[in-house]
Amino acid sequence: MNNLFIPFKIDSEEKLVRIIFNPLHYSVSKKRFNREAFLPPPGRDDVSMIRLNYSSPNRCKEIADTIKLKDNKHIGYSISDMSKFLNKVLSKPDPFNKVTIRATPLPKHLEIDFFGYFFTLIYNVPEHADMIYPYKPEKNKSNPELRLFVEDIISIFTFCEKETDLNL
Amino acid sequence: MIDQLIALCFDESYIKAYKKLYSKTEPIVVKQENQTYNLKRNTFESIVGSLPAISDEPNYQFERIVNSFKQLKEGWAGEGSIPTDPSIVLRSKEYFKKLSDALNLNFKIRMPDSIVPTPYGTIVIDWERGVKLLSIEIGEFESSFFTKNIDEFSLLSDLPIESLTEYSKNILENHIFI
Repeated sequence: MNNLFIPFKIDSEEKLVRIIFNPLHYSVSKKRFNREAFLPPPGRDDVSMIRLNYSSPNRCKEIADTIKLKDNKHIGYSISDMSKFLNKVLSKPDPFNKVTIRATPLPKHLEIDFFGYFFTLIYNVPEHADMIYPYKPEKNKSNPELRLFVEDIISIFTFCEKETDLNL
Repeated sequence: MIDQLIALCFDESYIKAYKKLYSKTEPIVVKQENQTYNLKRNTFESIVGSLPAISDEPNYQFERIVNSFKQLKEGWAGEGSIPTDPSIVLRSKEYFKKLSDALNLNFKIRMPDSIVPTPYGTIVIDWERGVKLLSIEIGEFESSFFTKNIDEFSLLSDLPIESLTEYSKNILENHIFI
């Protein structure tokens, strides 16, 4: 991380990465993402991403190594870019045309906006971002609209097995 | 002890132990809650010999998979994710049984391509055929589905099990199982 300040606004050229676990997020036999890779838990509307332009492939690996999911193994990354995301989302009906990806440096409670930028040194994970859905799934209630959105958004992501394949 | 083991052998541990028996792995271990039993092969064989063989029948396989979701713990899919409620496991079995009974004789029930729990507690059952997808979701009090055919999507929500069965029967018979 060389930048002292990072813009909150995610540029359309920026690459976005999500850390992928097997078997929860990715089917090795079908060679594709499961919808569960992009579904939030109940009462939450956010799914974590990494802004690769302000991170690095090695740093993605470091972050992946800090995440523990029981009975799941880190097997790679999903990568896309902001322009593909915007193109997909803007074609969606309300409320899914309001899905956004926004910078959410961690820890979130430190978030301070300096004229559209934030100071990286006070954050543990300054390159963190969230895909934010327009609503939060309820506990034990089916949610076909959200699953249908995710089914479609999956198509803009590419699977990378190794961090060295995460090219800018 | 044998009576106790026969009782244990009717659940998941029976299947695990049974598989081990036929993969020639020693010893045969039957686990139940905090107890572990190491059995001699001939003891185990004498028990399983009196039990029904493991079935390849879809209803049986389906139940085995959804029953395993009862083992999920809080946070199983990351922070905030919740385990599947036993009532949802039960509703999914009810749906699968009803669907199996409702299907036309020409379209015998086929195992779904995937059966997965969601981080927010529901169960999702998918059937696919080429570019066509039927995705069922069972919740605590209602259920829903969506279909996909290349780039065309449709969905219905807030369905009781009976309506879900009827819709999915028609979709499976006309688009997926053909």
